[in-house]
Amino acid sequence: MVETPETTREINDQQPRNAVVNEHDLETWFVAEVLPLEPDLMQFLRHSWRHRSDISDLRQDIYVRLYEAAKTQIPRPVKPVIFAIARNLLIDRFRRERIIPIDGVADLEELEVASDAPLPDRTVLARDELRHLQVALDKLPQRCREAVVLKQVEGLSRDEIAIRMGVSLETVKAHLRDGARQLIDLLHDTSRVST
Amino acid sequence: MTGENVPGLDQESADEIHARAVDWLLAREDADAWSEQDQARLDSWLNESSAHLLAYWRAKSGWRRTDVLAAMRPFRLQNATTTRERWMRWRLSIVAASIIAVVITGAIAAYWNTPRYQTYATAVGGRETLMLGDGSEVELNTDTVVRVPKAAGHRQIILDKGEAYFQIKHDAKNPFVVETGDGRVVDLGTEFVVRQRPYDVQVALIKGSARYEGAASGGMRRSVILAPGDVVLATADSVSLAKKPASDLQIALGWRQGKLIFRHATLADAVAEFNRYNDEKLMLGDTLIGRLEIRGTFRTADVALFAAMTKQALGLQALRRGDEIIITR
Repeated sequence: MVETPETTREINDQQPRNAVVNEHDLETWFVAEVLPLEPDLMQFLRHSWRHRSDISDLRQDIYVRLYEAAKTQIPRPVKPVIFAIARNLLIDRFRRERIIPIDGVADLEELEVASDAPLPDRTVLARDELRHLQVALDKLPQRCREAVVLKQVEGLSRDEIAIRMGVSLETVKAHLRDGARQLIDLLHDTSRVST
Repeated sequence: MTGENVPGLDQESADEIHARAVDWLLAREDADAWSEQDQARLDSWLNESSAHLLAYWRAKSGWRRTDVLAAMRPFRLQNATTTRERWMRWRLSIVAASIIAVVITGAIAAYWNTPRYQTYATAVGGRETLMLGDGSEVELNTDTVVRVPKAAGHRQIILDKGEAYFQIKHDAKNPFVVETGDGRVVDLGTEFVVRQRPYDVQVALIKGSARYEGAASGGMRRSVILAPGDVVLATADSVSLAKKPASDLQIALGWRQGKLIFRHATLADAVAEFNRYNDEKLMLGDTLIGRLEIRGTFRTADVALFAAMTKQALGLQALRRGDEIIITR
């Protein structure tokens, strides 16, 4: 079992102010090393926490805790750390909500297995990127997809999209917003998209 | 405010923050409307909490991944059908507008006699889908020129150059004809691909049935009925017929997804294929390395990636010189 680094335990106000890792490096690290773990993390959270509506909040809290820790030193490899944080967060939640985890969370042995499962081969993912995009796009509501496709594929402006779709500019913006929100979630959390 | 970075105490849910992050992202892309004040407002939102900043980074990296879609246009959803999927119809109607269409005016058309044709062409690296009036669909590959009669009910296409994939709505009373140089393909209910090269024409039948008719001589045409897997290779004075496994044909049709797929290809073949799709040309330093065998799947535009792969996998050198990449030992 991996011990949680102390830095992730207590996140307090004075720490972020004396960050030693610059923001650009943090963003690069977050995008390249943390976000690719999201499918595994989400699978783990969905498996462990029964309230579906909390899952994205849990994910966010885990990212924030990890990020605060990374400001002083970027943890590498990040995978054991992120799962340790996830586990601790869940334990905190169980305590706070006075839940005795019977079927709410699987036993910790099982969580270990989840965290040790190998990552999909990144080169395979890269090769399947387009196919993956297709599948994710397919999951969007029709009008949202239409707006996203006209913008990202055809490169049309919002005004042009409004004309093509025969709707108002405001409606186009709403479709794009909804479409982009869902698409971004689908692209990060590939465990929801079976290809 | 205090405690904004403390997890679990935020009044804003993660989904709400995600939604806000996407709003910012889209607003920022709208370059015309983006002011310094907007940037200041975004900065202050990002500074409000780590959750905001991370949600923004997450949204941005996800949205950037969709940028490759632009490189893949026209884009085709795998389950989309033209009848069910409304956006496909939109897409197809714009394809007609966005294609480099040379409308032959009446005066010029006289040069070609009747019937009058409309010419459609794709640039090197381009790929477009034509939706014909009868419901047939034609996908044009890179560097391709076709002519389509303007008159309704005239089921014909002339392939002047390049390669096209045909999905033909069958009509026994009015068969669809693809003219290729001297020969032609007459549809008998079918999907097929035709490639016109300077010295030969290749026709591969994927589905259904079609008839290939060779060059006319003395008012007669020699013809052969094609079954799936049949590949015709016709030159000025010969016609040969070969049978290929369906998997080979599908590999050759990778371009329909914007891909080049090599299974047991030689380096020379692969280089020739890449050069069809790109202005940046690959050259081989000597003919011997051209015989090396390669495998792999690439996007048609990934010349640089391919060159890098020959370095890694085959231990060759790749040097860039102007618009050329020269591969040598």
